[in-house]
Amino acid sequence: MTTPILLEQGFNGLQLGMILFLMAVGVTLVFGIMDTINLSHGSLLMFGGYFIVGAVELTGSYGLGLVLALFATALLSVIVEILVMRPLYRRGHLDQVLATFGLILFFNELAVMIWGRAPLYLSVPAFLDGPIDLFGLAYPAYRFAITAVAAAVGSGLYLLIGRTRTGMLIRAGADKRVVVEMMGVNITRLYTLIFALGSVLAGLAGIMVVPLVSVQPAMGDPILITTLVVVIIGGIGSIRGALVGGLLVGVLDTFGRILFPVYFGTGTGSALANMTIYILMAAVLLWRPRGLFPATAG
Amino acid sequence: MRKLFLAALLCAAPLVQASAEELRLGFISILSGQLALLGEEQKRGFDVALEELGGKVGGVETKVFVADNKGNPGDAVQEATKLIDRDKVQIVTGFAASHTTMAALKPLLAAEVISVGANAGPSPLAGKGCNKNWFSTGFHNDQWDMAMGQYMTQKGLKRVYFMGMDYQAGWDHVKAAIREFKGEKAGEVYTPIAQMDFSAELTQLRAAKPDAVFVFYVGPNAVAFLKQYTQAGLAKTIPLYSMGAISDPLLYKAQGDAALGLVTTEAWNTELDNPANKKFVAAFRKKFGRDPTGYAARQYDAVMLIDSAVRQVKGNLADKDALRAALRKGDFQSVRGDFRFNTNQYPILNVYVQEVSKRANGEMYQKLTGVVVKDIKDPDYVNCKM
Repeated sequence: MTTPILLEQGFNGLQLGMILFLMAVGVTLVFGIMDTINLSHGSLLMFGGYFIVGAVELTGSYGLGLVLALFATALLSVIVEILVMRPLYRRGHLDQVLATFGLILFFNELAVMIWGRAPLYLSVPAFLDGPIDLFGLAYPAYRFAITAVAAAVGSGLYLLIGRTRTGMLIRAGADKRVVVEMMGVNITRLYTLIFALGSVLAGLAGIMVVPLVSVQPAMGDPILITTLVVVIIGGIGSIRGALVGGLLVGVLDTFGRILFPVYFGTGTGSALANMTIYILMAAVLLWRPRGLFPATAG
Repeated sequence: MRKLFLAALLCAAPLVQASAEELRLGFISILSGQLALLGEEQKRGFDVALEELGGKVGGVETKVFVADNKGNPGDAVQEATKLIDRDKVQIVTGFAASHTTMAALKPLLAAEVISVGANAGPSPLAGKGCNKNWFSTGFHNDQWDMAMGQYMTQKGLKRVYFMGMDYQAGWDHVKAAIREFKGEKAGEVYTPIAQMDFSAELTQLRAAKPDAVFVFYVGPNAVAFLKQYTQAGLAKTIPLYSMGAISDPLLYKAQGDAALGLVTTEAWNTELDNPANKKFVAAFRKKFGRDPTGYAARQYDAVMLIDSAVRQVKGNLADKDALRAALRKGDFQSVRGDFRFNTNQYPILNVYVQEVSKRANGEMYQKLTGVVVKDIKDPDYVNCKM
């Protein structure tokens, strides 16, 4: 493995990690602040993908399509929050798992009914097509852009959470939910905002991966599982945990996929590669049962 | 007098009904989930065939039982069991993917239900595991790729990198190509069925600096792989070879121009010049407005094979031995031209080379560029003791 290859794989891992980070924020905030498990988070990634395809087809412009798709995802998430999530906040985790799992099935069938089973495609926007020079390496410009956007979003989140009143409420809610409620904060609106924020990030992740893998029904489900691993590793309720967890999982999964088959042969190597992130999760839990950066329980 | 007449009529009625036997035909495939594209397309070929036969396979009233295995071997076993116990099917067809096929065949073959596969041709059932009730009309998983391996050798390629999906079909297809390719294997990588992002694998591929790449990817994975291969700039520098299923009418729109020029091997092509194929392609185009894919063509063939066999036994479905013998004869008009089974009930086929091209009207299609191998046999039949 030469240095350029290691570097390129590092970038690949970083890119995967940032996508996972975007997904994990929504899950970890909803779980940490509202104490609610939302398994249908992956479906929002799928809808983000479908919305961008539809929006670009409608408007003929990627930029305009992007704005429309984000708006549509936000709208969808607010509807889901009001109709499905609100009754679930008071219920136990099992009810939430059952309900949101049902939501996954519903959303997948809905996608089939509206868009059919065949994958839909979207080209990489023209100005991002082709490679860029990254430390002497020819790396796909689009993948670099995804990483950059996710990093920018991460910075924006950092500012939001750390420097604004809303961010303060979110942090307070993660730490001491009950106290925030008792302080007279409009908790209903806060919850909707948090849910919508997380969902838009998932939608953004979906929007960004469509040119790479196309969009099809149920595409978010495998990503959800990895997202849950990230949240468990990073710690529930913690955005910092989502970032660190995401990067860890992204990089280790990428290198695991490459290195295990080299050292253990194709068969065993592939099997081990699939297990990498779960081994990591088990190791982290042994060392830090509540994850790496858990928000103090509320 | 009238009462006598009516009584005689009533006595005759059961006799009339007894000679019109009913064929209970099962269709089990992947109709939901990641690979649902394949099963849905098989069903289209199935429907075209049934329409042509007027709903009567072999001249017998046919009741169709459709089962969805959801692309999951566990569900395949359950659905197959339902077909046997609840629906009491006599013949089953469909069988899109190798892993679900092998799972579904466990209960089916144990119950001695005649199973006529229209796509997947898993190698474990072609040799020692061969069974008198399993007819693989589609192909043996190795065949197209053996031909491609020979084709790549003929082209003088020295080092080829091999990639595929991590399940029975992926292993069969890729290993067959490796076996027949006489040059150097630069790498052999299998990715999980659920994996759609190949950035890490493509980086390794580029590092290996092969002369060419051979892959086995189908359905949505084929779309993702091809797009990423092109985006990574590899399409311009390292030629890509594959088998026909990597790019077909279901995938053209999603793959776009990234698919143009792709060279693949397959045992069937829309342009094959025989009457059955011309009839089938025309009927499919009329019904669905586009070229059929191989999945539909092979399912059409499977139904026509069953039709020929049922006709030969004159609708006497109870005589399973006669039915099996009739199926083994393979005496029907196949869209692939001449059709015959090998001793292990897997087909002996001609394999063609094709190239993804564009028609004058902009429609993409697989252009038939030549025959690679005639009458290719799978390597496992020697181990089959039938």
